[in-house]
Amino acid sequence: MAAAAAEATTDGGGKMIILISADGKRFEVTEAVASQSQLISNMIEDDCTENGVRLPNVDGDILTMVVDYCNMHAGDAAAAGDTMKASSTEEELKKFDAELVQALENPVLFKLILAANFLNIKSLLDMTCQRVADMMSGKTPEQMRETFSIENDFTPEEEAAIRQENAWAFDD
Amino acid sequence: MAEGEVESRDWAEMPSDALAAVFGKLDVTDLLVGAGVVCRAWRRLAAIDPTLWRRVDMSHQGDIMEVDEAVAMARAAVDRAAGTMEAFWADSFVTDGLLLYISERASSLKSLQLSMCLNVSNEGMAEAMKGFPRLEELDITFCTLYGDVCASVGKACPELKCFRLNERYTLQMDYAAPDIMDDDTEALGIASNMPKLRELQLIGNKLTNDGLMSILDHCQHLESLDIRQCYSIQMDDALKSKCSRISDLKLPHDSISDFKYRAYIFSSSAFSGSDLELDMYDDLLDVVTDDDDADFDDMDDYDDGGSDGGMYDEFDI
Repeated sequence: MAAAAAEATTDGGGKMIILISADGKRFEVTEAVASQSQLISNMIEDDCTENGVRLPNVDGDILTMVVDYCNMHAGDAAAAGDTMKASSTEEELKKFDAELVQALENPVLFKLILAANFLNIKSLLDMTCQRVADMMSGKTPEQMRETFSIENDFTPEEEAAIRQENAWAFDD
Repeated sequence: MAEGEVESRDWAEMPSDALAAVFGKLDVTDLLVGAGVVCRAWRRLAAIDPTLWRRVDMSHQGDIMEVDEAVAMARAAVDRAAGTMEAFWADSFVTDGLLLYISERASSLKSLQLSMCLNVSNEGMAEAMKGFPRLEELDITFCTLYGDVCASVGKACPELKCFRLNERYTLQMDYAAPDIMDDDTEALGIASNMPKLRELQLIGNKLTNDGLMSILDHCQHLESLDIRQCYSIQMDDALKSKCSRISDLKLPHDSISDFKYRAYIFSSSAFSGSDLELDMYDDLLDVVTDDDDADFDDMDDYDDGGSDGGMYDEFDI
Protein backbone atom coordinates (compact mmCIF):
# COMPACT_ATOMS: atom_id res chain seq x y z
CA MET A 1 0.00 0.00 0.00
CA ALA A 2 2.81 2.36 0.91
CA ALA A 3 4.74 1.49 -2.20
CA ALA A 4 1.71 2.23 -4.38
CA ALA A 5 1.16 5.54 -2.67
CA ALA A 6 4.79 6.43 -3.16
CA GLU A 7 4.64 5.61 -6.89
CA ALA A 8 1.55 7.71 -7.35
CA THR A 9 3.39 10.78 -6.26
CA THR A 10 6.20 10.33 -8.76
CA ASP A 11 3.90 11.83 -11.43
CA GLY A 12 4.07 15.13 -9.56
CA GLY A 13 7.78 15.34 -10.41
CA GLY A 14 10.48 16.28 -7.92
CA LYS A 15 13.46 14.36 -6.73
CA MET A 16 12.88 10.94 -5.18
CA ILE A 17 14.43 9.70 -1.97
CA ILE A 18 14.81 6.12 -0.78
CA LEU A 19 14.07 5.38 2.87
CA ILE A 20 15.39 2.09 4.22
CA SER A 21 13.87 0.58 7.35
CA ALA A 22 15.70 -1.38 10.04
CA ASP A 23 14.67 -4.66 8.40
CA GLY A 24 15.76 -3.52 4.95
CA LYS A 25 12.43 -2.52 3.39
CA ARG A 26 12.79 0.28 0.85
CA PHE A 27 10.35 3.15 0.36
CA GLU A 28 10.62 5.58 -2.54
CA VAL A 29 9.12 8.98 -1.75
CA THR A 30 9.38 12.51 -3.11
CA GLU A 31 11.47 15.10 -1.34
CA ALA A 32 8.28 16.95 -0.44
CA VAL A 33 6.89 13.88 1.29
CA ALA A 34 10.13 13.00 3.05
CA SER A 35 10.93 16.50 4.23
CA GLN A 36 7.96 16.52 6.57
CA SER A 37 10.48 14.76 8.72
CA GLN A 38 12.71 17.51 10.05
CA LEU A 39 15.51 14.97 10.34
CA ILE A 40 15.33 14.04 6.65
CA SER A 41 14.71 17.63 5.64
CA ASN A 42 18.02 18.53 7.28
CA MET A 43 19.71 15.63 5.50
CA ILE A 44 18.31 16.83 2.17
CA GLU A 45 19.73 20.27 2.83
CA ASP A 46 23.09 18.75 3.67
CA ASP A 47 22.95 16.70 0.46
CA CYS A 48 23.43 13.33 2.10
CA THR A 49 20.42 11.38 0.87
CA GLU A 50 22.07 10.20 -2.35
CA ASN A 51 22.46 6.56 -1.33
CA GLY A 52 19.17 6.27 0.49
CA VAL A 53 18.37 7.13 4.06
CA ARG A 54 18.91 4.28 6.49
CA LEU A 55 16.61 4.37 9.50
CA PRO A 56 17.98 1.72 11.88
CA ASN A 57 15.48 2.71 14.58
CA VAL A 58 12.36 2.18 12.50
CA ASP A 59 10.83 -1.17 11.52
CA GLY A 60 9.33 -1.68 8.08
CA ASP A 61 5.74 -1.97 9.34
CA ILE A 62 6.04 1.26 11.29
CA LEU A 63 7.79 3.02 8.41
CA THR A 64 4.89 1.93 6.19
CA MET A 65 2.53 3.84 8.45
CA VAL A 66 4.84 6.84 8.61
CA VAL A 67 5.18 6.96 4.82
CA ASP A 68 1.39 6.63 4.40
CA TYR A 69 0.93 9.49 6.81
CA CYS A 70 3.51 11.68 5.07
CA ASN A 71 2.05 10.92 1.63
CA MET A 72 -1.38 11.99 2.85
CA HIS A 73 -0.04 15.15 4.42
CA ALA A 74 2.37 16.14 1.65
CA GLY A 75 -0.59 17.87 -0.01
CA ASP A 76 -0.79 20.39 2.82
CA ALA A 77 2.01 22.59 1.59
CA ALA A 78 1.45 21.98 -2.12
CA ALA A 79 -2.26 22.85 -2.03
CA ALA A 80 -1.82 25.91 0.15
CA GLY A 81 -2.19 28.23 -2.82
CA ASP A 82 -5.47 26.65 -3.93
CA THR A 83 -8.11 27.30 -1.30
CA MET A 84 -10.80 25.09 -2.84
CA LYS A 85 -8.48 22.14 -3.06
CA ALA A 86 -6.98 22.79 0.34
CA SER A 87 -10.35 22.75 2.10
CA SER A 88 -11.41 19.45 0.54
CA THR A 89 -8.12 17.79 1.38
CA GLU A 90 -8.42 19.11 4.88
CA GLU A 91 -11.53 17.04 5.46
CA GLU A 92 -9.96 13.95 3.94
CA LEU A 93 -6.93 14.47 6.11
CA LYS A 94 -9.00 14.76 9.25
CA LYS A 95 -10.75 11.51 8.38
CA PHE A 96 -7.45 9.81 7.60
CA ASP A 97 -5.88 11.01 10.83
CA ALA A 98 -8.89 10.04 12.92
CA GLU A 99 -8.93 6.55 11.45
CA LEU A 100 -5.21 6.13 11.87
CA VAL A 101 -5.15 7.27 15.47
CA GLN A 102 -8.23 5.24 16.40
CA ALA A 103 -6.62 2.09 15.05
CA LEU A 104 -3.50 2.57 17.13
CA GLU A 105 -2.96 0.21 20.02
CA ASN A 106 -0.06 -0.87 22.16
CA PRO A 107 2.64 -1.56 21.12
CA VAL A 108 2.28 -0.08 17.62
CA LEU A 109 1.37 3.26 19.17
CA PHE A 110 4.55 3.15 21.22
CA LYS A 111 6.71 2.41 18.18
CA LEU A 112 5.01 5.09 16.13
CA ILE A 113 5.72 7.69 18.81
CA LEU A 114 9.37 6.67 18.84
CA ALA A 115 9.51 6.89 15.05
CA ALA A 116 7.77 10.28 14.94
CA ASN A 117 10.10 11.50 17.66
CA PHE A 118 13.23 10.17 15.95
CA LEU A 119 12.24 11.40 12.50
CA ASN A 120 11.00 14.64 14.06
CA ILE A 121 7.58 14.80 12.39
CA LYS A 122 5.81 17.21 14.67
CA SER A 123 2.19 16.71 13.57
CA LEU A 124 2.45 12.92 13.77
CA LEU A 125 4.16 13.14 17.17
CA ASP A 126 1.42 15.49 18.40
CA MET A 127 -1.32 13.18 17.23
CA THR A 128 0.14 9.98 18.67
CA CYS A 129 1.07 11.61 21.97
CA GLN A 130 -2.43 13.00 22.27
CA ARG A 131 -3.78 9.48 21.86
CA VAL A 132 -1.61 8.26 24.73
CA ALA A 133 -2.54 11.27 26.85
CA ASP A 134 -6.21 10.46 26.23
CA MET A 135 -5.55 6.90 27.36
CA MET A 136 -4.00 8.24 30.59
CA SER A 137 -6.51 10.95 31.30
CA GLY A 138 -8.51 10.53 34.50
CA LYS A 139 -6.83 7.23 35.41
CA THR A 140 -5.23 6.40 38.74
CA PRO A 141 -1.55 5.43 38.72
CA GLU A 142 -2.59 1.79 39.19
CA GLN A 143 -4.94 1.94 36.21
CA MET A 144 -2.18 3.52 34.12
CA ARG A 145 0.20 0.71 35.10
CA GLU A 146 -2.39 -1.76 33.90
CA THR A 147 -3.04 0.05 30.63
CA PHE A 148 0.63 0.29 29.76
CA SER A 149 1.82 -2.91 31.48
CA ILE A 150 4.21 -1.01 33.70
CA GLU A 151 5.60 -2.48 36.86
CA ASN A 152 5.39 -0.51 40.07
CA ASP A 153 9.11 -0.26 40.86
CA PHE A 154 8.90 2.08 43.84
CA THR A 155 10.42 0.97 47.14
CA PRO A 156 8.14 1.16 50.19
CA GLU A 157 10.15 4.22 51.27
CA GLU A 158 9.48 5.93 47.94
CA GLU A 159 5.81 5.04 48.16
CA ALA A 160 5.69 6.68 51.56
CA ALA A 161 7.48 9.76 50.25
CA ILE A 162 4.99 10.07 47.40
CA ARG A 163 2.07 9.81 49.80
CA GLN A 164 3.68 12.48 51.95
CA GLU A 165 4.23 14.81 48.97
CA ASN A 166 0.71 14.42 47.70
CA ALA A 167 -1.02 14.14 51.05
CA TRP A 168 -3.76 16.49 49.81
CA ALA A 169 -4.69 14.11 47.02
CA PHE A 170 -4.83 10.86 49.00
CA ASP A 171 -7.15 11.77 51.82
CA ASP A 172 -9.19 8.59 51.53
CA MET B 1 10.95 -13.43 27.07
CA ALA B 2 7.19 -13.00 27.26
CA GLU B 3 5.48 -10.39 25.12
CA GLY B 4 4.19 -8.62 28.21
CA GLU B 5 7.66 -8.16 29.63
CA VAL B 6 8.90 -6.51 26.48
CA GLU B 7 6.02 -4.03 26.57
CA SER B 8 6.48 -3.37 30.22
CA ARG B 9 10.07 -2.36 29.69
CA ASP B 10 9.10 -0.27 26.68
CA TRP B 11 6.66 2.17 28.24
CA ALA B 12 8.61 2.63 31.46
CA GLU B 13 11.80 3.21 29.51
CA MET B 14 10.49 5.37 26.73
CA PRO B 15 13.16 7.96 25.85
CA SER B 16 12.56 11.03 27.93
CA ASP B 17 12.10 13.43 25.02
CA ALA B 18 9.32 11.26 23.56
CA LEU B 19 7.73 10.72 26.96
CA ALA B 20 7.92 14.45 27.64
CA ALA B 21 5.90 14.99 24.47
CA VAL B 22 3.19 12.73 25.91
CA PHE B 23 3.34 14.28 29.37
CA GLY B 24 3.10 17.69 27.77
CA LYS B 25 -0.46 16.86 26.74
CA LEU B 26 -1.65 15.90 30.22
CA ASP B 27 -3.39 18.28 32.56
CA VAL B 28 -1.96 19.17 35.93
CA THR B 29 -3.93 16.58 37.87
CA ASP B 30 -3.08 13.67 35.59
CA LEU B 31 0.56 14.68 35.67
CA LEU B 32 0.90 15.28 39.41
CA VAL B 33 -1.06 12.41 40.90
CA GLY B 34 -1.40 10.13 37.84
CA ALA B 35 1.42 9.63 35.35
CA GLY B 36 3.92 11.33 37.65
CA VAL B 37 3.66 8.54 40.22
CA VAL B 38 3.35 5.46 37.99
CA CYS B 39 6.98 4.34 38.14
CA ARG B 40 10.42 5.67 38.93
CA ALA B 41 11.27 6.77 35.41
CA TRP B 42 8.01 8.62 34.91
CA ARG B 43 8.24 10.24 38.32
CA ARG B 44 11.75 11.45 37.60
CA LEU B 45 10.68 13.06 34.33
CA ALA B 46 7.64 14.78 35.88
CA ALA B 47 9.87 16.12 38.64
CA ILE B 48 12.86 17.34 36.68
CA ASP B 49 11.43 18.65 33.42
CA PRO B 50 10.24 22.21 34.14
CA THR B 51 8.95 22.62 30.59
CA LEU B 52 6.01 20.35 31.47
CA TRP B 53 4.75 23.06 33.79
CA ARG B 54 5.09 26.00 31.46
CA ARG B 55 1.36 26.23 30.84
CA VAL B 56 -0.79 25.26 33.78
CA ASP B 57 -4.50 25.14 33.05
CA MET B 58 -6.58 24.57 36.17
CA SER B 59 -9.57 26.46 34.86
CA HIS B 60 -11.86 23.44 35.14
CA GLN B 61 -10.87 22.44 38.66
CA GLY B 62 -12.98 24.49 41.04
CA ASP B 63 -16.11 22.42 40.58
CA ILE B 64 -14.50 19.01 40.91
CA MET B 65 -11.87 19.49 43.58
CA GLU B 66 -11.67 20.66 47.16
CA VAL B 67 -10.24 24.17 47.42
CA ASP B 68 -7.28 23.04 49.57
CA GLU B 69 -6.48 20.27 47.14
CA ALA B 70 -6.57 22.58 44.13
CA VAL B 71 -4.41 25.18 45.88
CA ALA B 72 -1.85 22.53 46.89
CA MET B 73 -1.77 21.25 43.34
CA ALA B 74 -1.27 24.74 41.91
CA ARG B 75 1.58 25.34 44.35
CA ALA B 76 3.22 22.05 43.38
CA ALA B 77 2.96 23.01 39.71
CA VAL B 78 4.53 26.41 40.40
CA ASP B 79 7.39 24.74 42.31
CA ARG B 80 8.07 22.24 39.56
CA ALA B 81 7.99 24.94 36.90
CA ALA B 82 11.03 26.36 38.69
CA GLY B 83 10.54 29.90 37.48
CA THR B 84 9.62 28.99 33.91
CA MET B 85 5.83 29.13 34.14
CA GLU B 86 4.36 31.19 31.31
CA ALA B 87 0.63 30.65 31.72
CA PHE B 88 -1.56 30.04 34.73
CA TRP B 89 -5.30 29.64 34.23
CA ALA B 90 -7.58 28.87 37.12
CA ASP B 91 -11.07 29.24 38.47
CA SER B 92 -12.84 29.66 41.78
CA PHE B 93 -10.25 28.11 44.10
CA VAL B 94 -7.67 30.88 43.74
CA THR B 95 -6.98 32.98 46.84
CA ASP B 96 -4.83 36.05 47.51
CA GLY B 97 -2.34 33.73 49.18
CA LEU B 98 -1.99 31.50 46.13
CA LEU B 99 -1.63 34.48 43.80
CA LEU B 100 1.17 35.86 45.96
CA TYR B 101 2.83 32.44 46.04
CA ILE B 102 2.85 32.38 42.24
CA SER B 103 3.85 36.01 42.05
CA GLU B 104 6.99 35.32 44.10
CA ARG B 105 8.01 32.34 41.97
CA ALA B 106 6.89 32.96 38.41
CA SER B 107 8.16 36.30 37.20
CA SER B 108 8.23 34.77 33.72
CA LEU B 109 4.41 34.60 33.61
CA LYS B 110 2.92 35.92 30.38
CA SER B 111 -0.68 34.83 30.69
CA LEU B 112 -2.97 34.82 33.72
CA GLN B 113 -6.62 33.87 33.57
CA LEU B 114 -8.89 33.98 36.59
CA SER B 115 -12.56 33.13 36.41
CA MET B 116 -15.09 33.23 39.21
CA CYS B 117 -12.38 33.82 41.78
CA LEU B 118 -14.41 35.42 44.55
CA ASN B 119 -11.59 34.98 47.06
CA VAL B 120 -9.18 37.28 45.28
CA SER B 121 -9.28 40.86 46.58
CA ASN B 122 -8.38 44.07 44.78
CA GLU B 123 -5.48 44.55 47.21
CA GLY B 124 -4.22 40.98 46.80
CA MET B 125 -4.42 41.27 43.05
CA ALA B 126 -2.57 44.59 42.99
CA GLU B 127 0.19 43.19 45.18
CA ALA B 128 0.56 39.96 43.19
CA MET B 129 0.71 41.78 39.87
CA LYS B 130 3.99 43.39 40.90
CA GLY B 131 5.61 39.98 40.47
CA PHE B 132 4.51 39.67 36.82
CA PRO B 133 6.45 42.35 34.93
CA ARG B 134 6.27 40.35 31.67
CA LEU B 135 2.54 39.67 31.71
CA GLU B 136 1.00 40.07 28.26
CA GLU B 137 -2.45 38.61 28.78
CA LEU B 138 -4.75 39.02 31.77
CA ASP B 139 -8.28 37.64 31.86
CA ILE B 140 -10.47 38.42 34.86
CA THR B 141 -13.96 37.04 34.38
CA PHE B 142 -16.71 37.16 37.00
CA CYS B 143 -14.37 37.86 39.88
CA THR B 144 -14.92 40.59 42.44
CA LEU B 145 -12.12 42.73 41.05
CA TYR B 146 -12.95 46.22 39.89
CA GLY B 147 -12.14 49.92 40.12
CA ASP B 148 -8.51 50.79 40.87
CA VAL B 149 -7.35 47.29 40.01
CA CYS B 150 -7.01 48.35 36.36
CA ALA B 151 -4.60 51.14 37.22
CA SER B 152 -2.52 48.88 39.48
CA VAL B 153 -2.42 46.11 36.89
CA GLY B 154 -1.41 48.55 34.16
CA LYS B 155 1.37 50.04 36.26
CA ALA B 156 2.75 46.64 37.29
CA CYS B 157 2.50 45.04 33.84
CA PRO B 158 3.82 47.45 31.22
CA GLU B 159 3.85 44.75 28.50
CA LEU B 160 0.13 43.99 28.76
CA LYS B 161 -1.30 43.44 25.28
CA CYS B 162 -4.56 41.69 26.05
CA PHE B 163 -6.84 42.60 28.94
CA ARG B 164 -10.23 41.13 29.73
CA LEU B 165 -12.36 42.26 32.65
CA ASN B 166 -15.79 40.73 32.35
CA GLU B 167 -18.70 41.31 34.68
CA ARG B 168 -22.43 40.85 34.75
CA TYR B 169 -23.94 44.20 33.94
CA THR B 170 -27.47 43.32 34.90
CA LEU B 171 -26.98 42.60 38.57
CA GLN B 172 -28.22 45.86 40.00
CA MET B 173 -30.78 46.64 37.33
CA ASP B 174 -33.85 46.34 39.46
CA TYR B 175 -32.99 48.88 42.11
CA ALA B 176 -30.24 51.23 41.01
CA ALA B 177 -30.93 54.30 38.96
CA PRO B 178 -29.08 54.13 35.65
CA ASP B 179 -26.86 57.14 36.36
CA ILE B 180 -25.56 55.60 39.57
CA MET B 181 -24.41 52.61 37.59
CA ASP B 182 -22.20 54.65 35.29
CA ASP B 183 -18.59 54.30 36.35
CA ASP B 184 -15.46 55.14 34.38
CA THR B 185 -12.90 54.23 37.05
CA GLU B 186 -11.87 51.07 35.22
CA ALA B 187 -11.94 52.68 31.78
CA LEU B 188 -9.73 55.56 32.92
CA GLY B 189 -7.40 53.16 34.73
CA ILE B 190 -7.00 51.26 31.46
CA ALA B 191 -6.60 54.40 29.35
CA SER B 192 -3.87 55.85 31.55
CA ASN B 193 -1.91 52.70 32.33
CA MET B 194 -2.13 50.21 29.48
CA PRO B 195 -0.53 51.93 26.49
CA LYS B 196 0.44 48.71 24.67
CA LEU B 197 -3.02 47.18 24.69
CA ARG B 198 -4.07 45.43 21.47
CA GLU B 199 -7.08 43.51 22.69
CA LEU B 200 -9.62 44.69 25.26
CA GLN B 201 -12.70 42.84 26.44
CA LEU B 202 -14.95 44.61 28.94
CA ILE B 203 -18.19 42.64 28.89
CA GLY B 204 -20.82 44.05 31.22
CA ASN B 205 -18.73 47.05 32.28
CA LYS B 206 -20.38 50.27 33.44
CA LEU B 207 -18.13 52.60 31.48
CA THR B 208 -19.67 55.55 29.61
CA ASN B 209 -18.92 57.18 26.27
CA ASP B 210 -16.33 59.40 28.00
CA GLY B 211 -14.49 56.41 29.41
CA LEU B 212 -14.46 54.64 26.06
CA MET B 213 -13.29 57.79 24.27
CA SER B 214 -10.40 58.02 26.70
CA ILE B 215 -9.42 54.40 26.06
CA LEU B 216 -9.53 54.94 22.30
CA ASP B 217 -7.43 58.10 22.65
CA HIS B 218 -4.75 56.55 24.82
CA CYS B 219 -4.54 52.94 23.65
CA GLN B 220 -3.24 53.62 20.18
CA HIS B 221 -2.47 49.99 19.35
CA LEU B 222 -5.96 48.71 20.10
CA GLU B 223 -7.14 46.34 17.36
CA SER B 224 -9.84 44.36 19.12
CA LEU B 225 -12.52 45.80 21.38
CA ASP B 226 -15.41 43.96 22.98
CA ILE B 227 -17.89 46.09 24.93
CA ARG B 228 -20.87 43.74 24.83
CA GLN B 229 -23.47 44.33 27.52
CA CYS B 230 -21.93 47.72 28.40
CA TYR B 231 -25.32 49.35 28.38
CA SER B 232 -24.16 52.75 29.66
CA ILE B 233 -22.58 53.34 26.24
CA GLN B 234 -24.57 55.07 23.51
CA MET B 235 -23.00 54.42 20.13
CA ASP B 236 -23.31 57.95 18.74
CA ASP B 237 -21.61 59.25 15.59
CA ALA B 238 -18.54 60.55 17.42
CA LEU B 239 -17.97 57.17 19.05
CA LYS B 240 -18.65 55.28 15.83
CA SER B 241 -16.07 57.28 13.93
CA LYS B 242 -13.58 56.89 16.76
CA CYS B 243 -14.10 53.13 16.65
CA SER B 244 -13.65 52.89 12.90
CA ARG B 245 -9.96 51.97 13.24
CA ILE B 246 -10.80 48.96 15.42
CA SER B 247 -10.69 45.90 13.17
CA ASP B 248 -12.51 43.56 15.55
CA LEU B 249 -15.35 45.41 17.28
CA LYS B 250 -18.20 43.99 19.35
CA LEU B 251 -20.87 46.45 20.47
CA PRO B 252 -23.08 46.53 23.59
CA HIS B 253 -26.06 44.81 22.00
CA ASP B 254 -24.15 42.21 19.98
CA SER B 255 -24.82 38.55 20.68
CA ILE B 256 -22.98 36.96 23.58
CA SER B 257 -23.30 33.48 22.12
CA ASP B 258 -19.58 33.02 21.45
CA PHE B 259 -18.53 34.08 24.94
CA LYS B 260 -17.11 31.05 26.70
CA TYR B 261 -18.72 31.95 30.02
CA ARG B 262 -22.10 32.72 28.47
CA ALA B 263 -23.71 29.96 30.57
CA TYR B 264 -23.11 32.20 33.57
CA ILE B 265 -24.93 35.15 32.04
CA PHE B 266 -28.65 35.28 31.59
CA SER B 267 -29.85 36.27 28.16
CA SER B 268 -30.95 39.83 27.61
CA SER B 269 -34.54 38.61 27.39
CA ALA B 270 -34.28 38.46 31.18
CA PHE B 271 -34.62 42.22 31.10
CA SER B 272 -38.34 41.68 30.84
CA GLY B 273 -37.99 40.55 34.43
CA SER B 274 -40.33 37.70 35.27
CA ASP B 275 -40.52 36.84 38.97
CA LEU B 276 -38.37 33.80 38.45
CA GLU B 277 -35.64 35.78 36.78
CA LEU B 278 -35.67 38.48 39.44
CA ASP B 279 -35.21 35.80 42.06
CA MET B 280 -32.26 34.53 40.13
CA TYR B 281 -30.73 38.00 40.06
CA ASP B 282 -31.12 38.33 43.80
CA ASP B 283 -29.32 35.07 44.33
CA LEU B 284 -26.64 35.95 41.85
CA LEU B 285 -26.08 39.22 43.63
CA ASP B 286 -25.43 37.18 46.77
CA VAL B 287 -22.88 35.17 44.90
CA VAL B 288 -20.98 38.27 43.96
CA THR B 289 -21.14 40.10 47.28
CA ASP B 290 -20.64 37.19 49.68
CA ASP B 291 -17.97 34.66 49.07
CA ASP B 292 -18.97 31.65 51.08
CA ASP B 293 -19.23 28.23 49.50
CA ALA B 294 -22.97 27.83 49.81
CA ASP B 295 -23.58 30.65 47.39
CA PHE B 296 -21.13 29.29 44.93
CA ASP B 297 -22.97 25.99 44.92
CA ASP B 298 -26.06 27.95 43.99
CA MET B 299 -24.32 29.10 40.88
CA ASP B 300 -23.53 25.54 39.87
CA ASP B 301 -27.20 24.78 40.07
CA TYR B 302 -27.87 27.53 37.59
CA ASP B 303 -25.32 26.13 35.25
CA ASP B 304 -26.90 22.70 35.33
CA GLY B 305 -30.43 23.94 34.97
CA GLY B 306 -30.09 26.98 32.79
CA SER B 307 -27.78 25.77 30.06
CA ASP B 308 -26.44 22.68 28.44
CA GLY B 309 -23.19 23.15 30.27
CA GLY B 310 -21.59 24.87 27.30
CA MET B 311 -19.24 26.88 29.40
CA TYR B 312 -16.10 25.20 28.29
CA ASP B 313 -17.19 24.31 24.79
CA GLU B 314 -14.69 26.42 22.95
CA PHE B 315 -11.98 26.33 25.49
CA ASP B 316 -8.50 26.20 24.03
CA ILE B 317 -5.79 24.79 26.13
